[in-house]
Amino acid sequence: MRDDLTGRLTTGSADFAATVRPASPEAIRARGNRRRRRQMLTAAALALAIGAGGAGTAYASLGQPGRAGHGAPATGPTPASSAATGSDRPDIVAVTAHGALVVLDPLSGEARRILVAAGVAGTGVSVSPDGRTAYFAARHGCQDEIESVPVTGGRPRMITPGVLPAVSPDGKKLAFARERPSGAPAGCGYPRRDDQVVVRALAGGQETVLTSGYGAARPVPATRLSWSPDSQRLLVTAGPAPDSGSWTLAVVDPATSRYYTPSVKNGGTLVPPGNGYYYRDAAYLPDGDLFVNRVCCTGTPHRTTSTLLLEIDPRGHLIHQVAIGFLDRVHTSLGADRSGHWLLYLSGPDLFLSLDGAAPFKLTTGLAAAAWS
Amino acid sequence: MRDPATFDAFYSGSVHRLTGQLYAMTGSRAEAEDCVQEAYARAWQRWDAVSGYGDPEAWVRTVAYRVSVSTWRKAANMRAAHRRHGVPADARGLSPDYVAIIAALRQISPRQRQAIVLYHLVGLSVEEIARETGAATGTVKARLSRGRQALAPHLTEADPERPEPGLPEPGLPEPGLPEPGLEVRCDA
Repeated sequence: MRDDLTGRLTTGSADFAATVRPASPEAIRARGNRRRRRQMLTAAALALAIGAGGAGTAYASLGQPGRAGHGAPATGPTPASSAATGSDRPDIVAVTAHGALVVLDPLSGEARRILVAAGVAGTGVSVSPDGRTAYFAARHGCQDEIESVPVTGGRPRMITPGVLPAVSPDGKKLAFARERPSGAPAGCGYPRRDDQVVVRALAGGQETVLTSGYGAARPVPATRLSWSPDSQRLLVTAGPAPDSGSWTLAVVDPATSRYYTPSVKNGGTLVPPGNGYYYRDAAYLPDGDLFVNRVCCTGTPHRTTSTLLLEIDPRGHLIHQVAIGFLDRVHTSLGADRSGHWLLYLSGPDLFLSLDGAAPFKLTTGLAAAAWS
Repeated sequence: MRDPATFDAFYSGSVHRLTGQLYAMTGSRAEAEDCVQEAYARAWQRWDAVSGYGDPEAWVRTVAYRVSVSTWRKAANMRAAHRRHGVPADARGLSPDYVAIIAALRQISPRQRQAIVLYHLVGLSVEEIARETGAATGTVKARLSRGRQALAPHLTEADPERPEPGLPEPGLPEPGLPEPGLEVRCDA
């Protein structure tokens, strides 16, 4: 049997190996370096925690999803690691579940400043790279408008109809989603139409418009937009398609692409989700990798069997698992601060933070969207 | 001092082979790729030491397998759900014979599968497998024997009822839809 099985395994494995497209050695070394840095930080935080209050302190305060933090009301305790690194944690701009736009204290999770008292849509918020201006969507009658407001407080300024604002890292462009105008008023009882993703020059107002490519008969709404670190490409999460319920995650170059849910045919790049998975939310990290919520489902009707918060490379290869999400919650607002050290995401209404991909902790709750300032 | 050049050469020269071996051990392309990458990252983390080992490839293979076992434990329910769907969609492009072997390997225990792959694919002797897995030689022999026994019924002539590889994944857009991309169904 050895000869037969050996021959068949060897031949088949050689064929399989020829189809493997491994990550670059540089990416593997970067992943190893990140592991090393994380372990050093964890060791330092544990040492501080033990010095401050005994060996149990750090574990008890981390509030990992699926552990003691699940369902806990309001703000949890600050993690032990913040003693070492809290001072470099940027502010957080967030939309509350009641439609207010606020600036949160990154250490306590308490609202430090109210920028807009009511009427803010919970679809997303974005902060300019200089940290001075927040972009959000506000509902006016039957229409959502992109508006901006100084993070230090001031009068909001209307920009254009749309939702899902995402300002580019160079501060020159604003991406957002907009329903395709068709003569009838949007929303308020009218059926949803095909979406557009629009890239607007903040200085001159010139717009580049991308469509789903499916037409109005099969609208696939964009649900999250994130700019690449060089401000050249957009990461677009779109779904669910009304007929198949499918989702896509695509890297789109607005300068060359006509579609935000591209196929290979029209020059786009889809991030491969892996067998049976799909992405529900995603954002670029400052080094060009991605922070994603990868979901898996099974059965008919479909049932979620896993929801993971992961760092992956743009080809879909896993770099690091940040957290295991709750199966009964949607995970949104994924993002990293400019240094790339602090990650943020919402699990339902709960805001979780993670330092260098270490075990996340719950900072506060009652939110609909959030972003680093 | 870790030398990137020696690591890169080692990685480039072995990653295809090791991913193939892990695929045979796990039966999942995504899992094999994830675990192998994680193992190489750990190898780079301590490349000073690993590069000095007699067989760094065996070290990476062992770590990758342990990572996969750990992942298996965490996601046992998820995999069970996947298995109900039959032949994995990532088998597309492989020969029907190899798909049959992988499917058969998935029917036996992980330890037996590891021993079978190390013996028949990697080409290790029983003593070498014992060293790599930390098991006694008698245990390795037993795993090989029982594994082959368990495999035998699954490795006869082609089963006419076995699904062909290359069937479309659930959720791939139907033919004729405009501008389809790679999509996966969800809980819409």
